[in-house]
Amino acid sequence: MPRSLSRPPQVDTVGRTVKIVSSAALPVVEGDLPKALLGFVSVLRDHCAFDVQTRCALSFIMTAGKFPALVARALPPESGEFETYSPSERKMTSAQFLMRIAANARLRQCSCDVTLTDFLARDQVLDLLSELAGALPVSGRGVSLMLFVDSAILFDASEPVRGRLSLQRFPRGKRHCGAGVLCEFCADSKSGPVAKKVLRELREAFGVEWKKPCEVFDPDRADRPSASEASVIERCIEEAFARAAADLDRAQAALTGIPLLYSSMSAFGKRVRDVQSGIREPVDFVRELRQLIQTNFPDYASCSKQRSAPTFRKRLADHIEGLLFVERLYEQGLGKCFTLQYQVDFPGTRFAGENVNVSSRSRSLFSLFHKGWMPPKWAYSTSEELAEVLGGCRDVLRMALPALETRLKELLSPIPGALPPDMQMRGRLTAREAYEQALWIAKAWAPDARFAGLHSGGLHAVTYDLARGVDLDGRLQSHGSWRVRFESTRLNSDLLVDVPHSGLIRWNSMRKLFPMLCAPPS
Amino acid sequence: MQKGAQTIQALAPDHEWATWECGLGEERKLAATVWTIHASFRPAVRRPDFRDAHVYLDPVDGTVVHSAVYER
Repeated sequence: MPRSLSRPPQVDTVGRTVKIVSSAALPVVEGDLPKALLGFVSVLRDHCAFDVQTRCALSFIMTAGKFPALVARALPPESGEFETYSPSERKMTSAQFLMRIAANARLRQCSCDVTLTDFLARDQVLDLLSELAGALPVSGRGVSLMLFVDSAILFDASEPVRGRLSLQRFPRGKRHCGAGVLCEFCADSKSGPVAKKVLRELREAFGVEWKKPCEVFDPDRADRPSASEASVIERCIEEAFARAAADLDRAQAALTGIPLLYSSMSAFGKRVRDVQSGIREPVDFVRELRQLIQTNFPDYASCSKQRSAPTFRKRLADHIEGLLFVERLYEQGLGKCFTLQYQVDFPGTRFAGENVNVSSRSRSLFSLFHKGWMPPKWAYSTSEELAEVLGGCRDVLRMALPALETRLKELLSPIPGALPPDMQMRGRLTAREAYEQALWIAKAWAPDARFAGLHSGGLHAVTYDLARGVDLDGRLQSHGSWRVRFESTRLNSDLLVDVPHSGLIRWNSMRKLFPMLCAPPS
Repeated sequence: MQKGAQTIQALAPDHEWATWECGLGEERKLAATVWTIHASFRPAVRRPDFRDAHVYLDPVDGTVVHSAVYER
């Protein structure tokens, strides 16, 4: 359908609600496990109601069999998962476990996993936990315990609020015992009067300080976009990346001469070499990065939810924001590596949060340079190297951001209800037709490129059932694409060419991870 | 593609397809380049069923090289 004839998706901010979460640590009595468990039970008794959604899951490992036996006796015979740590033993029901205990009371270690609310009412659950607390040793020696109560109703609030409460106790580690509560409720905004009132009521009831609330994506909300609406937005974002990449190709922008920018595997190698050579220095990456963005890209405001994932947000147009996401990579604990992603969000609309997908490779900023499949990473070990890295990062952003922002505004403002009419339409291609379209890109990439396989693909949005890229005649569906793979011996690299039903052809190359696999087709 | 789909339908009759994908490439366990079709099925109600199925076809003449269904 031509874009102009379609009804644009609603940008409705009136009466919209978002899901708000906040959390708090609950006080626990350290060094006295029975008191800690009893305190937790009294929180459940005084502040929580249960309904059919509520789940109370209990897991523990103990060196004495009598405590799991206490739980087993309270459950129906066929319930629960009990285990003793004898190599020949399988998981047992409560009845089987009680028989095992009767045969051998001196079991060295056993465990229990059970969702108590599957079998017991609220008061029975609380009574059983109190009884267990009364039987446990004060020292808690040899006891690992995890107790989770999901989707409990926190009835002290005047609005409907659900909570997740947890108590965990481990025999070793810095923190033996901890308890917490996380609340979830709907409000107009995280800073509006409803959110403030709910958190005040919870603070007064629980007597603990709640963390600053934040808005979260709610997959169950009633006004979620339909699969076809989400598909249009997703494909427009992908098209914007593809068009920006083509713009950068025309401008001959390239990643040559960017210091300390490594291929995915080489970054890890650099860090290993540096650590083994004793090159170590504490560096405040986040502070330096924020300073870089503030100085060079002042429109991008820091909006990180946590220091481990610095994020910067810029308003591109009404209800459209670009999110520059710095993905820090820990490289098996060696750290000091990162790469860049770019996400798009639609705040104040029912599309908010729908298209932010930090695990999507197509959102790598390096896909603009045809390196998005296994994106390059910066790696550094000293403050001098970090300064060099951030200089290169600035140069990459100066090339990439203007091109991408322009194309995102062109394709997403106003929020589209259909694909743009100027989008290339390739139609219901067969695999062979897609191969033929991909071949000229492969030959331009490397004269010795040879076909190494292909695969059907579609829109892999996690929550939408649109992954069938081809129909049963072997032809592309409207949201689908063929991914054709070539390999080059000379470059020791793979090339992945995505040939979509509609939109620009995208391609990414990467160094080979494995030896050559495929014989040339006969 | 159609032949592969028919093969899977014969292996798992009365199964509703949830999603499917296909591709051409080297299949290591067969040591050959094959056309592969993989289908996942929606869970059946109140009866044992299959989770998914694979069929591997010769890309030249379309003969079935190997097929397999997997229980849920």
